[in-house]
Amino acid sequence: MNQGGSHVCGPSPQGGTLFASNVTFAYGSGPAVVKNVSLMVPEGAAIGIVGESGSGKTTLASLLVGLLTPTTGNVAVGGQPWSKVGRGSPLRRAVQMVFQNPYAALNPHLSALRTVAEVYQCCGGFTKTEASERAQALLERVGISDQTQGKRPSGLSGGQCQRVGIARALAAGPAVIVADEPTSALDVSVQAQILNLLSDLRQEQGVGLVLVSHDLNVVSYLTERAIVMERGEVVEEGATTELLQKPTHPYTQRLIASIL
Amino acid sequence: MSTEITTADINVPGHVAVRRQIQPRRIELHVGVGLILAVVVACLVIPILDRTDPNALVALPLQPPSAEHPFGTDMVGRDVFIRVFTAGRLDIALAALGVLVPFISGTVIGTVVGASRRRLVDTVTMRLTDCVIAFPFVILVLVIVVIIGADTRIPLLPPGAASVLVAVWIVNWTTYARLARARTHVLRQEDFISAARLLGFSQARIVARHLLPSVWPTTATYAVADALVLVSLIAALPFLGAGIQPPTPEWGSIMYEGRGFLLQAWWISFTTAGVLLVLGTGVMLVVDALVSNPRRPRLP
Repeated sequence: MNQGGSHVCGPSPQGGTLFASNVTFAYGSGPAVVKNVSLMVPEGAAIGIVGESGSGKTTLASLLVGLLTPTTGNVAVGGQPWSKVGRGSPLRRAVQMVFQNPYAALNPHLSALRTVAEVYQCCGGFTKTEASERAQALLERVGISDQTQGKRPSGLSGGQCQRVGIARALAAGPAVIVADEPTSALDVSVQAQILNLLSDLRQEQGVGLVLVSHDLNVVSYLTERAIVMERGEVVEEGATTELLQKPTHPYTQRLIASIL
Repeated sequence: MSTEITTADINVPGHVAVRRQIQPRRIELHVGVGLILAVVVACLVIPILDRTDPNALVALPLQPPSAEHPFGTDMVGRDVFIRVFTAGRLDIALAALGVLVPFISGTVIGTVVGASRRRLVDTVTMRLTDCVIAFPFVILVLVIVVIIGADTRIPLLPPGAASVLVAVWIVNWTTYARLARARTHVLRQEDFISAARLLGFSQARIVARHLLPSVWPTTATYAVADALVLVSLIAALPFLGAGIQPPTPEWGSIMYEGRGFLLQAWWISFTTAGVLLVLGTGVMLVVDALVSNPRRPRLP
């Protein structure tokens, strides 16, 4: 699996919806926080990125969605590198993100309904009425009731905000959703609901998932394969259940021991 | 994979509870609106109800407040009460116009520049603002008076008001632009702006729908202070031969005229300052209430 410093999740390094090839990234002139990472997300696959705080997980997630540009290496979506994907291109919307802080992820001035309807209106070309109807249906599906849809983020709970964030990502019709610690800021009871929702939606819609988490339990619930990161490097990768049951790298062993 | 996960299955160490929303500061808002309305309505209604010419000599000079002249008379025998509320119309109009145009233009320019990822746009605009800010304001006003002429008039405003307003418009947008740009730089890092970028929204939409609603409360707070400073500036300019000329009643000039009689006729300056204080307090309370109403609960 480990091919000359290239870490590949999935059957083929040539295909896949989202493909990162030997990606290295440093903030300014500082040290590299992501080092020579390769990753492929085949269509509909779910991949976990695990590591402790500061291991480079979130930076890698930002690189995968195109919010950051690699210092060296390349991230491609549908075969096109992010640098060649224009703002208006449908490929731009092919990879969406669910953020860690559910409140910061939503525009504080827009209601849940407007947040999702805006995506249908701008990305789907629907009229305002059609966009609202579709947004209502999608919000219902993710568990936001009619009474709650008109509320702004300040009137919603953390879990409800995260559901709206998931609905917004789905409204764009993505091929892959990158979820950056989507439950870490939520109550334990709500975490379970959000994970179940992500699991159900993934199965219903066949959307690929990259789940970033420091918790192997969470990753093992939702993903089939995972990579373990330490100080910006991938130290171990493989099937999630195997990683959890038979970790080979000392860092992975420590990570698992810390949650037991 | 089909098994439903339960709360007990997930162990997330150090999870944080969400602090609930803080209630809006409604009392400040209501009191502030009440004070502003009181002054504005008084300025609109009193000159209509009492048709006395604000420049007419109605009594002996330096008469203390009485039932007939609630704010007394000034050094030449004019009714201070009618002068103060007639002046209020002009001062409030000038402060509003003098603040509104730079507030809107500066906020939009600063937000657009702050949101732009082209370094050249940012550098050129910011150096331009530096140049405008560095130029002495009073000299700039005098230059503008010469250029556009003291007789140039804006409908409903007295002679001299146009030059003051144009000068204020030319200079003051820069401060708003700088504030808006700084706020936008902070907001640009927020997840909801990242989400908008990932969704492929146009730059215009991101600026108009996602950035401006969060930027303008910052510049609006400054606008309040700016409006109060502007009233002082309007009062100071006549002494340099620019701006609104006496005998047009205007708060700054009334207070300035009264400064020589503070011991004998305190009411000339103090009643005017009192009205200005009520208006300023009202505006401050309103902005304070609006700005301190958090729309987003914060994670501890």
